[in-house]
Amino acid sequence: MSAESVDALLLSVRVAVLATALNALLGIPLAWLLARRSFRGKTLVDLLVTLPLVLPPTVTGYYLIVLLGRRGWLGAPLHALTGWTVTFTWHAAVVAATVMALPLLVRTARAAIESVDRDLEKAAWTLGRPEWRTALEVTLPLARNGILAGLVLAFARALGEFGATLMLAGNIPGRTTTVPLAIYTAVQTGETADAVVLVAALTALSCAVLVVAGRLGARAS
Amino acid sequence: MSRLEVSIRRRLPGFDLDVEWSAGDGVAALFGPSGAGKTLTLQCLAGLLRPDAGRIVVDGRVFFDSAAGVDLPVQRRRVGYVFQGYALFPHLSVAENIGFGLRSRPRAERARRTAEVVERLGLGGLEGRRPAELSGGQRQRVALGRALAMDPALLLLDEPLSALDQPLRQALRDDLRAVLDDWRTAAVVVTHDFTEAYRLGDHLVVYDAGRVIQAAPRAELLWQPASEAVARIIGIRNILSGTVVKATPDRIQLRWRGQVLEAVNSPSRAYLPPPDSPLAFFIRPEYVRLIRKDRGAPDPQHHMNLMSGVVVGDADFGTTWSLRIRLDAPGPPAQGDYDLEVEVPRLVHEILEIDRDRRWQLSIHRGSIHVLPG
Amino acid sequence: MRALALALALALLALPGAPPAAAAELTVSVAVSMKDAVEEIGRRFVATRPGLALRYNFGASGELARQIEAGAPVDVFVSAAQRQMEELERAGLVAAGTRRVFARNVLVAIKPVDEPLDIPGPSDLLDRRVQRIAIGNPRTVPAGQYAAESLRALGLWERLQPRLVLGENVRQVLEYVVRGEVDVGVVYATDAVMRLERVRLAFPFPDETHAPILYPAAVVKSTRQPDAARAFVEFLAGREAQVVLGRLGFERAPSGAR
Repeated sequence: MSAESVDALLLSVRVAVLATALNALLGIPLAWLLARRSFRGKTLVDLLVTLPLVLPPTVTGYYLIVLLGRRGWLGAPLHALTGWTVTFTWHAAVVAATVMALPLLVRTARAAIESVDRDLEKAAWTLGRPEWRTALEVTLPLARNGILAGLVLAFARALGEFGATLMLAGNIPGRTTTVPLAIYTAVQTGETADAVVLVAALTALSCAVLVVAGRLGARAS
Repeated sequence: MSRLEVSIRRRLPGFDLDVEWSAGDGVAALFGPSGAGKTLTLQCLAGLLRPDAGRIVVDGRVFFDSAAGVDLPVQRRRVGYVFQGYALFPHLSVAENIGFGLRSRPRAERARRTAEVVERLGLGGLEGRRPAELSGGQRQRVALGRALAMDPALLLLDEPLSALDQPLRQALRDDLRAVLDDWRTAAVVVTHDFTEAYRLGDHLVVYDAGRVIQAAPRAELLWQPASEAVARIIGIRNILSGTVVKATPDRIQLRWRGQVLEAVNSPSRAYLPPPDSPLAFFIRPEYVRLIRKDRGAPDPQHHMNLMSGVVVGDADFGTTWSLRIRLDAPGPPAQGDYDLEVEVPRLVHEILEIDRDRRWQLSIHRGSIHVLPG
Repeated sequence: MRALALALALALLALPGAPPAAAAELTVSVAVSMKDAVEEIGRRFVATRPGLALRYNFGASGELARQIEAGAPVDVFVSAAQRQMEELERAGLVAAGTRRVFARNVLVAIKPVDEPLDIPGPSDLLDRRVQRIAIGNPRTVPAGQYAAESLRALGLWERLQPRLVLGENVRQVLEYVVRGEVDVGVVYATDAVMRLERVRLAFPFPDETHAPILYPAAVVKSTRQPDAARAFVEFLAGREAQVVLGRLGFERAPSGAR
């Protein structure tokens, strides 16, 4: 395996791990809110969270650029303030992977939380637990297997992210070239040996991840 | 002073709850058909549902008062709630379930209290088990223990026995009553089974379609249902209608199926319907006497409200037989193809050879004909 | 009834595209930087040959070459660099004697229209305030190859490495500059001409720092329309085409170049 391929693998794993961690931080509370609370704008939030699942990745990538590009709605003030832009950095790869994988986590976790008997939560309240502690001590532990399955799926999705990553982070070897991008370039340049190794590595990793998710999912039901 | 003062108004799509009742010492049993609003009331008492208007006071503590803007959050009410499916935490052990409401107390005290509850409810040896490993009766006791461990101000039980099989139900019903007597917390039980309500409750509140149609100590309810609706809900049979002949504070004479019957008036002695007005009354099936044929002709002094008829149907209920009797009176029978349901013990059924001999004279003591005020 | 209509609609969608109205059709794979020029020249070519239609396939030269190697049914290949054409020739995929160099381009550095920095020459790229420089991916994009070659020749390649942003094709590099995502982009002069309202010319790269940027066109050997294909390639090298190319910013091909 060439040095570049190793770079790409390490980058991909780092990006996927970070993206999954971010998703856990964002997605689990979001899933709980969607499952257990009603609030103004809930339909909109639900729609926004599901959109990256349904839109073509390049469309999502486009929206990310509009938001975070150097002249973007958020990117421009950021650049003015700090002189830094997220595009063409490995951070952008993390952002793209996080956004694309979020719906997978939120939907799975939400279903798991919704399947927890509400009477259990009510019982905890009558026994003196405030809502947030009930969520932590009763709801989430009981939804644990579903949530873990969601995280695993999100990890797999983050690992394989291509379209939005290409648009937001570019394809810069050693910096933003993740395994899917490296495969793309290798095929373009006819470097099939490299491509094959990377394809095998990614396939093996994804299969392992799916097997784990399946086991967790089976235990959840 | 009443231990419990309840007044709740709450609108839901397609349902309107408007109830008011109070209860002193002892257990209050909310009884009525499914969907009458009993569980809704429990949820309002617990603070899981907010009434649109009303007032809830428990032992002097105001849980809710819409006029004064008081709404104590559920966590602060100290209500022990035993849910219909028990709602035991599946990922915690028996001891952890029971001790769940005690987390704010120091560990030593928590352990001591849990052990005490386990002991009192006969759950010794099961502390480490998970709910999935327990029998129905054991789960019920864990749910009870969990609710009682935190010394609740109010204990609420939603159909505590309906998840269990029949023989277990009877045994546990008595156990439950013993626990309630022992613990002496203000308690409200919800059930759709009258025997259960009667056995567990001291004070019965009858619900029907979002309203309370009678609230009374249990004996009073049994013998003096306030109306035909209450009688039907309680499951009283032989609810009949006749016409007033004459009403005095002590007695009411009424005409029914071609004869004049004499009944005692209701204890209030205030019910004085005018002659020829319609009157509802009921006769308990077990209080209709079949007159033995081997003892000569019936004596009108001794045998009041004498009637004669023929058995048109009977059913074997094991310890008793239920007979359907059609009277020798012209005109259609009062209840479909029969006039009266009569219950006789098995022994009587055999001795009198009722399966062969279908023709009988009946007598009903005037005190066994209960008038139902309109 | 509705189910039947739906099934029919789906069947129609599944059919390959509408049959060509013309009797004959030429498929031409064109490097992206030649897109507008070839389209215009193509319109004129088709006017001289009624019944013929041109179908274009745009992409980076490397990508197009891979497609032809994989057996794509292409009649003419217009590349933005000699290398890709040579690869195909070596693989025996080019019809002998049909290769023509018909245009030349100049490599320039451009900056966004509102960029305040002044970058008059290549060494000014080293200025700390130039944070990002976009070039085509040297492995797949000829414009990127030339850019890398130039920067190496100027001794700037090593030091500018960390600031490089790679585009998948030269138009993408142009887009990055137009959008202001980068401070400088290296593209062809013809690309800069296209978006003059949104970009400013910084400086041209000296000719001697890179191989000449020549555009060869050739007939793909497996063509089903050898005559029409040959005619198109000749047309590209002809006078009418040269006028169009000049207007769009291309330089004449050096005479005698193949």
